[in-house]
Amino acid sequence: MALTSFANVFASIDDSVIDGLAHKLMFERPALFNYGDAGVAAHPEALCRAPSVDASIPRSAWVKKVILPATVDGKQLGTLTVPALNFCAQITAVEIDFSPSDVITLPPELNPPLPGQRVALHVGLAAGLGDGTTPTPSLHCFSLDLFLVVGIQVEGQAPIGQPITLRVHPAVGNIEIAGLTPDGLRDSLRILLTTFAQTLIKYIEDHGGIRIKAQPKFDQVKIKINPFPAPVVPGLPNNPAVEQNQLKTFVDLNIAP
Amino acid sequence: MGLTDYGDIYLAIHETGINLLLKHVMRQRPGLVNFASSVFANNIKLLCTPPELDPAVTEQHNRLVSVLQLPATLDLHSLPPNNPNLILPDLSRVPFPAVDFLVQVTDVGVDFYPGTMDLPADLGQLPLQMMAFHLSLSAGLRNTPPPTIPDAPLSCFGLTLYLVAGATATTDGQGRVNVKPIPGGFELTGIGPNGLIDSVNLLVNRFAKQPGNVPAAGYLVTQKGLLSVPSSGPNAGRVQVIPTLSTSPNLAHNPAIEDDEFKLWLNVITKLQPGQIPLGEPGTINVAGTAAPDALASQLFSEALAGETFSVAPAPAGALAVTAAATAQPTYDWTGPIPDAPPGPDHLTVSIAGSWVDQQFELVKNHFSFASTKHLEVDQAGAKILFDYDILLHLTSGKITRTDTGSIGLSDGDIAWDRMNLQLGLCIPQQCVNLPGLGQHCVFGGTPANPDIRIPLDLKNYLRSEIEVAGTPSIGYGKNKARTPGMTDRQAVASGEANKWGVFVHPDKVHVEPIDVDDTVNNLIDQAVAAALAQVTANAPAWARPLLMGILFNSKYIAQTLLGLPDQLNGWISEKIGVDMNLIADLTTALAQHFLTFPLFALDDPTTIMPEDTSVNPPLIPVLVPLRDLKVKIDHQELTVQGKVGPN
Repeated sequence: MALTSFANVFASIDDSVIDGLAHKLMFERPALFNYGDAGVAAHPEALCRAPSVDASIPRSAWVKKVILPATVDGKQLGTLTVPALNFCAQITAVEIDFSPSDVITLPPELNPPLPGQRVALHVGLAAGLGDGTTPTPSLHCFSLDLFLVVGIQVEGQAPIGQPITLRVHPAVGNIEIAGLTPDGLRDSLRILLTTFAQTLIKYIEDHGGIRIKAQPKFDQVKIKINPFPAPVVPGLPNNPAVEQNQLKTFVDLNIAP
Repeated sequence: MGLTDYGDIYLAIHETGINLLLKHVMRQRPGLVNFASSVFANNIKLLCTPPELDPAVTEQHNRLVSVLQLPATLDLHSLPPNNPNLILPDLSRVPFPAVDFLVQVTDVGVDFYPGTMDLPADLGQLPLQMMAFHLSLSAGLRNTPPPTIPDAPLSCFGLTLYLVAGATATTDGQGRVNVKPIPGGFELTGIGPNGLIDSVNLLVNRFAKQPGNVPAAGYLVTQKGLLSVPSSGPNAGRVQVIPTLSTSPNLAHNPAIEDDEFKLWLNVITKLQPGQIPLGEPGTINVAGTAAPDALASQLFSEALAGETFSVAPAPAGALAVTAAATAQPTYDWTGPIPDAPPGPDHLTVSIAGSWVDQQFELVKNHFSFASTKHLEVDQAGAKILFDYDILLHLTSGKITRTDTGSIGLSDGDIAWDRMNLQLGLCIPQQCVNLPGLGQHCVFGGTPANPDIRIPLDLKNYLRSEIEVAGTPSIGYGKNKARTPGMTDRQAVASGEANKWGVFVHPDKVHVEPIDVDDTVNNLIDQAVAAALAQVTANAPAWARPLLMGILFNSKYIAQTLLGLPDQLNGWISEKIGVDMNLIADLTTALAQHFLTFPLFALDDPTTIMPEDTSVNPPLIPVLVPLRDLKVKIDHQELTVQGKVGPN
């Protein structure tokens, strides 16, 4: 069956491309993924997880320096002084996996393998605190892994020549935090995060969803073209479709002279 | 060395007592240690760890948890990136996730140096002058289930917090003693991975050690128990009993954390605010020095025992139940058995410097009063002499003494006679005289119901007597007589009929010296008899009256010849009143009874440490703590009371 059997335009992206882009971004823009106090920023070797960074980037640009407030409002305890500590927080991994699952090993709590038409996300986190008394920070490090399974639906249509508005319908399957013990604490946190995400998505759905304005440019051809998602039909059960390690989109075009 | 060498008051609380006290609070006020969503408010089977409850909690339908309301909405409007092509709904009022949660304190414990608590390795061994706490938590969370499965279980987990701390104490000059912990170490256990728990512990430790981040916990010692201040009466709001922390240079640590106890030495200042104080003199009294004025002290004491009456212990034969307190409705029977003492060390030690003890003893002394009326008929040389007295007295002045043998006493105590009306009646055999030209003229011949002569004497300013009392402190357990069979302690407290512990001075010796009647009374009697005779001879002709008076009826004749009375009537009256009318014996008995029945201190059993809370519906039950094994000892320096917190 031809790729355009159900739409004028077919576009797809493989999860390896997105993962590669994420890796590239982490490699060339480490300060977007590594945060720490002034001590850690000056000594990135103290980071809990040594980042993989392009050799051309100076070490001083590896870590985004975060300055904590000197005091916080402790409510009934009054104003509390924040101690001077070394700390870091890192995003050590960002991975996406379109079904079928072959990039991310899902934890058992998320019932692997990844179901059809689902996207798995994995965010690796590392963090740590040090007492701030040594010239080179020494941190107590730990790492957690956040796994997220979502589905996506997109719809939208607009008059020819007008911007199209896409509605995105994410569907949270589950969230898991690996590395945290005891089980009851991990389960409680997972329930809280999952319920929070589901509540948030339902709220967004009930209030118009996520809308993305797209304004295609076809200045060269002097015609008016407006793309919109191809309707779901028996031969096209999912649009976008998450399958074969790809995110596939099927787009129809309205064209007017 | 005395416990009060370094302060007027010494307090020591043993860790076992605090731990028992905490358990009493947890059993009786579960809402103070269990926090949850409303669905768990009264559903004990849903809690992660079923709490141990006092039966009254469920009987009175008290809440099991304090309901914490999660916010209805979250404001997330600042989360999404600001991109004109990304359109999201207003995220400022996103509903909070529908979850049920629960946090329970399942166990709590305190350990004063030397340590016996198993501390995590990072905290090491409990250092000198430090204390350790542990707090076990149980928590859980679940999705709010549909109504069809309301009992869906939670994901529960447990954590334990350990805290090591020293302590400093300050007083604020307003009656409050503030104890401030000095953080020594914090350790949370039960969470992994190790780096996470190490980071959390480091953060909390460093936060706690920042100056000013740990608040002091204050306790207003003048509010309850130890030092009472008048809340009613003319001195209400005017009296300040102010504890100050002892700063004796010989005291290495104050507070001291040692011997499994938390020890504190206080000095006490009693201040009376300037103003019109009907009961006392304004001023400042250092209790360690001179005693407070009676009136002020009396009111302090009255406040401590407000509304209390004390019955008479088994009355000796012929005793007169005449003390002011004892004549009120008897409430407590102090003769019954004392509750069994649990094993182990004493949980609370309070030692009070001698000067303060003297004041309390003085107050007990000052509460003594004695009222009596009596009649006596004496046959004397064929005549009858009638004695009727109506007296009211109390004790005043005297010197309070304490000995190393454990006794306390009053010497040279004076009796102040508030009322001493003595009426002498004379029934004299009929006397007849032949008067020239008038024949026989007879006088007298009266009866006890209608004596010939009545001599009312107001003797209150003419009597002197001193008393001496020596006793040893003792403990009594007073069973409230109003309690009905089967009544529980909680019911008794609710109806104001709790039992009491009392610290008494058991009189080993009560001595009342003979009542000395001033010799000026002789003149009084002469004048009174002369006046009475004038009345008797009033019926005789005017010219015969001097003759009658001169021959028969002068007072000396009546007293010494006709009635055979001694020359010094004052001594004779003293003997008649004191011995023949048993006034000395009655007074001795009454004094003994008074000290047996009027405590130096009294404490409710069980004691209410948290009153009923009516701000919620249904009201929360009061937190009651049984007191056990109360002991008392005294020496020349101090009085020491020790006791234990009873088991559940």
